[in-house]
Amino acid sequence: MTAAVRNRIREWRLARGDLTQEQLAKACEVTRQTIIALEGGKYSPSLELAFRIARALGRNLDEVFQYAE
Amino acid sequence: MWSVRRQAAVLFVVGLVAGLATLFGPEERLGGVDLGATGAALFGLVLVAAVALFARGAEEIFPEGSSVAERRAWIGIFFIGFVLLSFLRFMWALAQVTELPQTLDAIYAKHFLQHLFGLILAWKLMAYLIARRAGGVPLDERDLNLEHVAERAGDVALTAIIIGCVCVLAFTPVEMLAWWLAPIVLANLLIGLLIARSLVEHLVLTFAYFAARR
Repeated sequence: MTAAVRNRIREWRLARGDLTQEQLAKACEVTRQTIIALEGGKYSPSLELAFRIARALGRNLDEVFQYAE
Repeated sequence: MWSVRRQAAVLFVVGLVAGLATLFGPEERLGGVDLGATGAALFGLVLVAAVALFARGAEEIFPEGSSVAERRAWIGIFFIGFVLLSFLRFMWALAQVTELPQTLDAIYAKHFLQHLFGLILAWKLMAYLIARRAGGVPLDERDLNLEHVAERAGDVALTAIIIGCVCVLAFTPVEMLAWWLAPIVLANLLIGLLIARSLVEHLVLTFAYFAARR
């Protein structure tokens, strides 16, 4: 199943250089499997999680998440 | 030295054989051996060994990339499956007696309940050890979403089984209804419904995790 919300988590995470999926998961208080599902476009996060991810990546929400029209 | 995964596979097979011998072993001794009692003792040992194995390396037993919640769902299937088998064996024993007992401890039930207690204890210990060995966050919003989907599937299954039971009762000859509607049979059927619902829930949950990993 494809999520309705597109994201650039992987792109921004890799841009940070040293941030692993495990570290991002820990910073956002979710499992690594959820980060994998998000990066694979298989899961749409709640608004709260979306904010936590954006903050952990040091980006604005709309830089990380876009709603697929 | 065998890997943890291979040890787990061996324990699973031995536990399965011992469990089946406990539940379906013949009443008479075979070559002087009471298969039921031997199976029950062996099954207890397997449970203890399995808990020890989980304490040593639970994460090595399951596929790489599986979450704590998925691992818990997997062991849930095995335990609930066995509980359901135990229940069916109990109902079969109940169907064989000519006069229905009035109390649970009058029949096989006492043994069944002790059996159930041991199973649930081992299950909860393993679930705890899986989370402890993995560290980090054991459950998040995605897990809760999948659990919600599985619970809905369990509700649908429960409804279908209840409708099935109603149909069976509706077409059961009147002389047989007395057995079905005896308090002890009815009480156990209700427990059976809950076990079946739980099994469906765990099957759907495990499949959802499996599908999400692909």
